[in-house]
Amino acid sequence: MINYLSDKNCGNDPGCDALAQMFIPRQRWAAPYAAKEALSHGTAFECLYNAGYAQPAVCSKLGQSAVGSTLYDQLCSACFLCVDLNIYLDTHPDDEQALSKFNAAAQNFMTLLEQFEKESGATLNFGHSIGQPGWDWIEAPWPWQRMGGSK
Amino acid sequence: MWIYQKTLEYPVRIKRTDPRMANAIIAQYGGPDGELGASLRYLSQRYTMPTDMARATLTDIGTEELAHMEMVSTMVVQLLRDATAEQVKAAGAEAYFVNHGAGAYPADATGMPFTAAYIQSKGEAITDLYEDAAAEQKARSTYEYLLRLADDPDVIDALRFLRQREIVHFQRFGELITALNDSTHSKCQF
Repeated sequence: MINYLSDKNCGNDPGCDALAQMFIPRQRWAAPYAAKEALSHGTAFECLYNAGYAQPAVCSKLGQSAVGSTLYDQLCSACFLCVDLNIYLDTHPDDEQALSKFNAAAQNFMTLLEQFEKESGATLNFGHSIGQPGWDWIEAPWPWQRMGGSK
Repeated sequence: MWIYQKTLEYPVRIKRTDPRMANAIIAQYGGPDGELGASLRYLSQRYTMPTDMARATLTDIGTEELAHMEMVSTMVVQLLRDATAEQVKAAGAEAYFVNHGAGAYPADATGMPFTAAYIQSKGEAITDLYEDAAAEQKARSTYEYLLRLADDPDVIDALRFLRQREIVHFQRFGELITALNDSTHSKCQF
């Protein structure tokens, strides 16, 4: 359906239409990290992790981080895998393997969200979470107040 | 329409007060290459994108940038939390403190307030997407300068995540440019 210049061999073709435009190769599918590793790396894809240029002085600070295993961290991880696969699918709409991974990630996210809401109350506004007596939506902690611990 | 989810995209848990680092990181909230500008840029440009792929990508990345803006403001308020006058003076952070206390205000690292003059929405997809690709690189550079200044592992952790997202977004904008180069043939014949 979608034609990419990357799929053509036009490097030395005098009739090639590729001058005066920039060209980024299209990412090819490879199995993504699991949710927690994806969030730790900042991407679901090994081939994009620390890809491209980095200032030499910063290299020592680009190691993998330590995302925790609290329910909150699990929810952030599950959500993030959906974010990154969603954006991949936006530019690869015909990729069936990506779609299947995305749907599995979305199911996992919804399961964790249900568990998280039992512990921490309504997590989405405007009718995307069910209201409880006392309207727990307003209750702390708000995201910028979360400093770790089990919640 | 937007829905709010009561989590950060990536957990930010800064325990050490550091007004000087707060005054540097604020640049990625309201500075020229910051997350507020990134979000406004993509969410403004999407209306004149010519393909479904480009409209969707700008909507989704523009939305993710709002979550990055929230992470950056969280870093700033956590770094300023409970700062004493002595800490503010020792850090040379009086100017921000006098104007904003421990609040999050969209300004750059010199205190210059955010302005929409940082962004463009040109009404032409190729032009806008080149700006977007460049914007991701400028933000990556800024995160690298901030990483060089940072020594607190909690700060480094969040900055590293945000830097990596710039790389992923750059790749997606590049893929949009590559697809548009090939699919939008409104070229003049000479």
